[in-house]
Amino acid sequence: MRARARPGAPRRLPPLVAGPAAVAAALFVLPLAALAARAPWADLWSDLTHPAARTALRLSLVCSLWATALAVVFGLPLAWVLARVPFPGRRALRAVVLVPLVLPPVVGGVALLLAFGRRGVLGRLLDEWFSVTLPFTTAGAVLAETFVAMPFLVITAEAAFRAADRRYEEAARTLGARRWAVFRRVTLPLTWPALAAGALLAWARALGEFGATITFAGNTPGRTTTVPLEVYLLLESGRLDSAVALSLVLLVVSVTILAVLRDRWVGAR
Amino acid sequence: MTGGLGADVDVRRGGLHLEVALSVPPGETVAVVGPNGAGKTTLLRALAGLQELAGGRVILDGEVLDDVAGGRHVPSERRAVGVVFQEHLLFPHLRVVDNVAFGLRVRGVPRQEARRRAETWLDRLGLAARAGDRPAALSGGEAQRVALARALVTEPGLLLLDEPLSALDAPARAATRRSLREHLRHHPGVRLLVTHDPIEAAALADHLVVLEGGRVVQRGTVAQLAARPRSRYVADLVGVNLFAGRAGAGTVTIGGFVLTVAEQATGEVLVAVPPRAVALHRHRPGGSPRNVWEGAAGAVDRDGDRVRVAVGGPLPIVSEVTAAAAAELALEAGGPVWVSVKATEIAVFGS
Amino acid sequence: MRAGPQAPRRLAALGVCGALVAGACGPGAGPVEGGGGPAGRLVVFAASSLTEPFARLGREFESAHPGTKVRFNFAGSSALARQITEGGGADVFAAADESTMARVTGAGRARHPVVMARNRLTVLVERGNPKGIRSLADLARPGLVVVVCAPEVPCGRLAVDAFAAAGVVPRVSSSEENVKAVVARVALGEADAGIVYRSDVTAAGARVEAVDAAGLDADDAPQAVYPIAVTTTSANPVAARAFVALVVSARGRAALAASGFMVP
Repeated sequence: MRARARPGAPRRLPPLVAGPAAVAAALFVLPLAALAARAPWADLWSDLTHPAARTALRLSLVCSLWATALAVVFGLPLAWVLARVPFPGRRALRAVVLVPLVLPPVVGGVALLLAFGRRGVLGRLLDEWFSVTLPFTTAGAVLAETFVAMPFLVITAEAAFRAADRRYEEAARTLGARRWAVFRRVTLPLTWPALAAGALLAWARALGEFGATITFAGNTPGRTTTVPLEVYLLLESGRLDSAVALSLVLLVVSVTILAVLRDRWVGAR
Repeated sequence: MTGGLGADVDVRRGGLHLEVALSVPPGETVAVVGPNGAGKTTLLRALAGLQELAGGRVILDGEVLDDVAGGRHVPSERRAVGVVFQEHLLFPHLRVVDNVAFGLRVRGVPRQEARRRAETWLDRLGLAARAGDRPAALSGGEAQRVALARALVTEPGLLLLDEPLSALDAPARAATRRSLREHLRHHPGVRLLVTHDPIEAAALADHLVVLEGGRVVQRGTVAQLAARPRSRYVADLVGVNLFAGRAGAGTVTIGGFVLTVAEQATGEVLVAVPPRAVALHRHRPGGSPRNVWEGAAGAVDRDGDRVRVAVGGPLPIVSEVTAAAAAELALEAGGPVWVSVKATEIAVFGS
Repeated sequence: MRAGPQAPRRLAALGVCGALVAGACGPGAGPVEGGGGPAGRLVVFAASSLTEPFARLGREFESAHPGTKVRFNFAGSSALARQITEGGGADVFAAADESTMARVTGAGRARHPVVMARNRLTVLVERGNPKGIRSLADLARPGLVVVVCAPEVPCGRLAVDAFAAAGVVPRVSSSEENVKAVVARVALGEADAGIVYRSDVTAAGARVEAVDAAGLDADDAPQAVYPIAVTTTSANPVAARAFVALVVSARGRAALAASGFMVP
């Protein structure tokens, strides 16, 4: 007996759709499959537990989590303001917040140097008044990662705050809730799935950041050599196997994040 | 007055210009009725503090909530006002008991105490069994009662209800109407409800205020409105036949048709004929009625043991007779029927 | 769905991008038939420390052989070596050390390397030497921001050797991936000192100066050796060989020396 097709699904995929779709799928699948296939499975554990690799992994984790935390702490209020508070120049501010998304990361790094470097606009003051320098430090790496990752959080959060049903907030107000209570007890619980997705996205971006980090924070193992930098250097010195092994780790992390977020984005069952 | 609501508001919103003066003592229920777009919800939101006033004052239990001239506006969260919304708006992420306890929690009442008081209210409304459920699991009527409990738990001086029954289906509506009436009576403050349903208004309120186009067209009890409706809407509201015509010597001419009336009047007038004063006959009746004509039976509406019949003809009119009488007449759609109205039953008043 | 008022602008941007891409493809590479002598396009991969002398030699080459177009790719030798072994695309490869060249010849991508120059290391500081750096040992001072090349690149390996020979453990704030990045850090004021090639000092301009540090100037101090070779995958071997010939000729050596290199 022929299987019954689900109502609404096309009976046969038209070739005009299937062909390009297959090519697109291959474009995504092949490089990742090649990476997995080329991985030095025999030496994988020793490659990954090599001190340099372990240091880079630990540093990447620490910096990306710090960057995500900063993005949340500073990005959420900004998202709120952009979503709810009309003020002159709001559109311009929103556009500026999106700039790190389209800026080549290295250019971002240069901009950060000009602002926070030892001779930078703000960095000079930090150095003179507080003897604080950011380039070449882990804090600098965190700053670079926050710079590129925060826009993801701000966009997602702003959209969530915009879409939040104000009627519930009004209901809470009539019950006597002041503004912070409304936010904490009503808005936040209703928007937190979108906020979590934004934070996850920001974390993924921070984890993979390379250009701004190397430009602003330089390269020092244990201080600023995150996994992407380490992979690049391994590649430079011809140690392909180790480079692939480390790349595999980032690949697994990215795939996991995407799997978790897929339902949010695609809404598939 | 020391307690109660005194409001004199001027609100501009979109194309609507609302100008209403209201005064309600504590312990009374007022229903604000009107067609869509009349400004009822705007008025309710203004009293709740959610809508800005263009002018006027609002005073509740001696406290000035709004005074545009004096530059005072008490925000919604600081008003002793409780609101029951049309779509109940129970917080979907909280369980029923936490929804009800919300107003107490944001006032700093500790969680255990707030839950206890919430459960007391739920019990009072017969919803104790639902305390642990999520709002999505409730029926329409249950959700509305939970919303009521949520608004009442903070003991507001003014309780506002926005179309409390309109989101319910017919059977739920009747049941909820009865229980709402009960619970409203126990609330010590001012109750103001907004509705477009005259039955809801009549059942729940002591007084009605009719709003049309942002202005108060008429106030009073249902009986008062029915006796002398001031507009087509009010007449439809109370189910009265209302006509506009020109009065002369003992008659009123309505578009060519002449009615004999008992009241003396001249000039442009409104004529109200209660449906119960419209008698129907199979054949031309004799006797005293001066206003007799033949018409065609139209839509027949049964409501318990009363039947309303719309009769077409030289003066289209609605009649209300007993079911027994209707059966005797054996009315057929479109069939001929004779109408008679006593002149003494016709109310004539200035428009 | 309406395109909206943004559509014309977007189309224009797409058009510009398309033109850029088309322009980048350009006329085909390779030798052009007809007439004797080198002609056509020549792609030279060279270590970044060779930027100034090679740019000059490239222009000389183009004017000596009209019809040629020389394209340079200056980067860290390791990056260039990797590119050549994985994809080719170069006609000439000039590396900053022999082991990097060995990677390429070992993979069969180049043959017959010739040493065209040597380079010494030096300490680079801001003009005026505000931190008073006099020797390699000074680079171990606390509070100083010192930048060197990463050990993966030739400049970095040499620096490691030099420090080891001097018995100094420097405080390194960053290990850059190519020597020009080290120069940039010092020139921008982000670093107090950097270990660079002597040739980089002349190229870096007025914002920096070299410090003649003992341990780097001696005859037995570590030196960078620069081999140059024609690739086996060259699309224009005639021009490639001619370019190499120019580099090792007297004119080539003069250009290199003028930039601070030591020539054989």
